[in-house]
Amino acid sequence: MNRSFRNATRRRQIILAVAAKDIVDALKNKTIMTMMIGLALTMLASQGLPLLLKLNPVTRVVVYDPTGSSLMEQLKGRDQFRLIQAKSLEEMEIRITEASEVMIGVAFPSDIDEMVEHGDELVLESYLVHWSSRSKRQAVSEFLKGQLLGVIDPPAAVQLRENILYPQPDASGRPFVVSMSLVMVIVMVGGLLVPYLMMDEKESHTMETLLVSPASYSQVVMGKSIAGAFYCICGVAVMLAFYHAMVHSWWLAILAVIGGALFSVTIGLLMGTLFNNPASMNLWLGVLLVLLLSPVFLVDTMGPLSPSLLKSALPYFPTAAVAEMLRASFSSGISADMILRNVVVVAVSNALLFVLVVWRVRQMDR
Amino acid sequence: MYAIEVRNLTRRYQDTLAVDDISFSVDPGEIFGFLGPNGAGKSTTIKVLTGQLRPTSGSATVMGCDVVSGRQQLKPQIGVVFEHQNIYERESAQGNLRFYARLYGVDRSRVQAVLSQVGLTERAREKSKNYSNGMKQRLLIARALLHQPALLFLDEPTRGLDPNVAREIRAIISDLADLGVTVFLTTHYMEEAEQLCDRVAIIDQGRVVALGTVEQLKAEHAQDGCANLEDLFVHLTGRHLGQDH
Repeated sequence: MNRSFRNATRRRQIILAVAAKDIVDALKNKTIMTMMIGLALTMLASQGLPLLLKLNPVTRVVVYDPTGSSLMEQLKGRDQFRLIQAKSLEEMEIRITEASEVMIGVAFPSDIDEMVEHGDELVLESYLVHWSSRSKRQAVSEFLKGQLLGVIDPPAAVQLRENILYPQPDASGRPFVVSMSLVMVIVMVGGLLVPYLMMDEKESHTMETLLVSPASYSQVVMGKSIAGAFYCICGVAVMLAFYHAMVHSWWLAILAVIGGALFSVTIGLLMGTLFNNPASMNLWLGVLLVLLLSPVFLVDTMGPLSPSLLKSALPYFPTAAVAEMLRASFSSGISADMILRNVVVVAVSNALLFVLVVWRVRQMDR
Repeated sequence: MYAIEVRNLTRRYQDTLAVDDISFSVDPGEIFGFLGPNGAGKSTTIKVLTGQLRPTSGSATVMGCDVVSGRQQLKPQIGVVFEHQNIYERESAQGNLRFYARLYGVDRSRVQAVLSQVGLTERAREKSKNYSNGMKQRLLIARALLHQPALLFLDEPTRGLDPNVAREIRAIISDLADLGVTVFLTTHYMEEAEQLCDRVAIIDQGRVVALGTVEQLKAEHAQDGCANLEDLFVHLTGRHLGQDH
């Protein structure tokens, strides 16, 4: 009992020693740092460019006016904001929840012209997305109220009743882009870092020294996967720090991140154990990353003329499943079926990959 | 008990026979020279004896452990200096050794002790990529000694070093032997082998072609005009020059 406990402790110490060494070493490795900085800049650019465009922001107001009221006509004449007309409440909700910036929506009742004519207090339903901050919501509500007061004649009080909107689990626009970015970080950090860490040991021949030390190949591989998972989770944590307000179901987001990180690290391990030549590994890693990330893009962008077989197969790609879970975590209406299907897809993929890695590691351990 | 005992060991890489039915033994505390031309099978033999490769047939025990079934028990008892200068170059000597100290589960104080033993204390905190070849070689030896192994495998430890550093390395090897450490040494420098080794084996095309003390071997081949180990080496292995090995 004591001996097996001591052995387990030693194994854990060895795995942690390899992991700690790799976590520190990755910061000193120019290839890995170039890769990480490149990825960070790509993510930053995708965030920074919209921010630059918003230096002189114009408030967008989405109006659902089922009767084509004269109040709407008057609002159209104002140039302090951009007016978007929605044909239905659903369209208004979609526009608001999929927009990259905070929009306010307002629904006019069918008798709004009469209410204005009688000088009644206008009580209107307003709509804002859940990830907008309280202060931002107050500011745009006040702005809209001011615009309405400016056009109502005779003057009357205006009251906006705030409704918070959540995107649909399969929403496009911002929820899609953010979930895609998160999957890119997960797949690229785990999928690239781990094989590079292994290739580094092979190229410098330090793997040989590790393997004559008390460390076994499987312990070295586990240490490297911990280092890969660490950076993967750090990358996602930075991304989520930017987008934390968007997440409604944290448990689902965390489940997706863990499943995705395990997947990408296991893919990385498989590549790292399969290749001994950096050029071949880089080539196949590039092909693999394209194959893994394409379903995430295609699942939302495929047109009606795309092959139906491909359309029905795409959701069963583990990366698409992770992206769908992340996207659903921004929503309030999550279906148990969707979660179950995606969890099964990710779990089965991880299990299959794990079996492959274990097979490969056992081969190497011999 | 022998420090190393090899019986009918064969190692094949697909169609290539790297080691062909070799047998020899190494006594504890001995400096054993394992000599041979490039591609003779020296490194393959070391890889088998250190548990990195499985033999195709035959058996080998190192410090009483079978190299296949007892590989994990064997590892803490051996130190290996490879032919490549395989160190973490982004790390200092101290950083390299601290990492291996954690792997071997030895106290950190050993790091300072081995640094001092190989004369690297003063530059222990510098990045090792800035070290000279001689310093890197000393670091490799320090790493191999960190856990105080009973048996040390040295694969061409003085290759490419200037005479001063090579002499220092040889002095370290002699000191280790004086302390009772068994040394399994491969080298291309016959004078070095003659100076250091208690016994030598010469391997050619995967087969042991000579085994014994340098004096014994010289005596055996005196009639062939072998006045020293280099003559003997060339006599036994040089006839293959120009042929495919």
